[in-house]
Amino acid sequence: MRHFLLLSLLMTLLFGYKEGDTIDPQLQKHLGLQDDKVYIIDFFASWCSSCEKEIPLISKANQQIDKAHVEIIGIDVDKSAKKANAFQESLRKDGLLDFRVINDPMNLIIGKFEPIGMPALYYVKDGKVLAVIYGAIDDIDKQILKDLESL
Amino acid sequence: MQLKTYLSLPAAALLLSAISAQAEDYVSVQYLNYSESDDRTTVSAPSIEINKDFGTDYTLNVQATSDSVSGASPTYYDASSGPSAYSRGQDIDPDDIEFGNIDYKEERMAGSALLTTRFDNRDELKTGVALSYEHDFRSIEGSADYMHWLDSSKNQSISLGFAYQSNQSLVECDYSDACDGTSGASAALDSDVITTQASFMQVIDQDSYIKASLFYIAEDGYLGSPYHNVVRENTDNTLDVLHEVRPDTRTAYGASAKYARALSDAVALHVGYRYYSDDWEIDSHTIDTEIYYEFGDFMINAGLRYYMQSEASFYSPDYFSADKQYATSDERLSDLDAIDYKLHAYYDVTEDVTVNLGGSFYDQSTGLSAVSIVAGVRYSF
Amino acid sequence: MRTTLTLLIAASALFFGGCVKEVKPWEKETLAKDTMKEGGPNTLLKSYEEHTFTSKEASKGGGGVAGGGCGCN
Repeated sequence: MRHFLLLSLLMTLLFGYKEGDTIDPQLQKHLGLQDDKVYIIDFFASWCSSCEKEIPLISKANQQIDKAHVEIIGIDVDKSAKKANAFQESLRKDGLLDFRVINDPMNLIIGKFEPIGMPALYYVKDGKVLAVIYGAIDDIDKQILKDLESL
Repeated sequence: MQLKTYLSLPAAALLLSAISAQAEDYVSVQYLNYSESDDRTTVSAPSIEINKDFGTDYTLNVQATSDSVSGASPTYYDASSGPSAYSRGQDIDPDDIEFGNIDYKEERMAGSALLTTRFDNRDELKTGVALSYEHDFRSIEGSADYMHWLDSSKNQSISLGFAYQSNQSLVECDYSDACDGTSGASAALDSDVITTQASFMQVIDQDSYIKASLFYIAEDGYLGSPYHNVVRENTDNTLDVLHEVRPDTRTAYGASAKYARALSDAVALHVGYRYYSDDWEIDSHTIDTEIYYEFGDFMINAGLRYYMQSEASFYSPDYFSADKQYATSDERLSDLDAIDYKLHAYYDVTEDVTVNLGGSFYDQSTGLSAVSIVAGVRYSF
Repeated sequence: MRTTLTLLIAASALFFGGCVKEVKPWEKETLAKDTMKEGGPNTLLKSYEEHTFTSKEASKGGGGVAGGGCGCN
């Protein structure tokens, strides 16, 4: 059982982007990534309740970061753009979402990153994945600020 | 670049799949009104449920119910001394024995708490306690259920559960040798129930999953009902009206399967089957189908359930002979089938508040039928 | 129990092996819905139903181990 688990984990890691991998240049362009800037890419969906819990905290962290050097980008993987927009709108209205979001209704972006769970948060610089956080963390805002400090 | 991949972070909460506890905080209040045909049992039962997440690793679910049961239950009695559950006796004239409804009244308070703990790999442990209290019945239960993901995409899991329940029934003194009959006090009769269940869940595709389970239930102790009498035919042709006597152990095995499929964005279908078999020679089959249909702020839930069982080896609807060890006249242990139809409607008043109203009709081949009405409200926070 | 469990898994794997498609974490929108939950969206309603059926019929089980007793024999 243990081997099976490890193997399936490895398989997943082999296919998706992981630490040290370079993001496809075309995808970098699509995401609007520039060199010399750190990007925090957060994958979420309206139906993922633990993602919903993290978004306000990520927005909170967004208010404390140096926007000249760091940008947070959300990727909403809802298959219905209508649902995605309504979800983001309801969060923005309450001031719980304050970063740029790209809708990924065809799942083309997340299909490249292939995270093993959701939410998934990627640190990217110069087109390279520096680190990945899979799953929800209670104090993701503090974690982000701490991680940025160590960069 | 000292950053590393947080793959093994203890707090990492990978997406909870459909099969896990939902990660949402809510309070739900529901009210049940249940009434049987022929002025038999009526139940009024308000309930409250609170579901609360503590971080991403713990979810607590607490439920409390208060049942008021009143009505009548059919059994044999000695009519010469009036229709009451206490109308038992020996050497009774056959003309004085009747089968009919005996009045009873119960108040029941029940509560439970279930804590879900999620581990690093998002395996889940559910630990629970449940209590039930009536003036003549106490029950306490502890349970644990461990769910283990078999694959990293969380499409396959196994779970193993175990529960131990300890029950105490307070009965009249003529029931038990353990009681001093002259004091007129009641005697306590104990029973315990061990339940184990092993399940396997498989996500089939983006719209469906199946869950299959095997279960085992072992009961030991006093398993009867103080409200049911039986009639013994003595060799001298006289009749005795006695408390029913059931075996003091019962072992059951069963298997169940559940298939859920979303037919469209708006429609979800559930189909379930259960097989049950025990050493009282009761075998049963249950087929359960439910459909959920969402439109706008409304949702309709319709269900159809069919149940059939064979009778217990010691079921004695008529008089039983003195050479027999066990007997019951409880119709619920007879050969029967039942069908249940239900229809419930839900309406989202706001984003956080949903109200529901619905009912079901239960029809059993024994002649018993019942209507349940449930109304409630749920607030998400 | 271990053997039964292995058999159960093996049988299910054989049965579903042919028609199971791997569902990625971001493809679970439908499966995450309340209406797809094993017990449906209304837990208390499920409890009422279970309680009614077990108190009017002679079988129980199959829906999990946690439940609680009642003097409804």
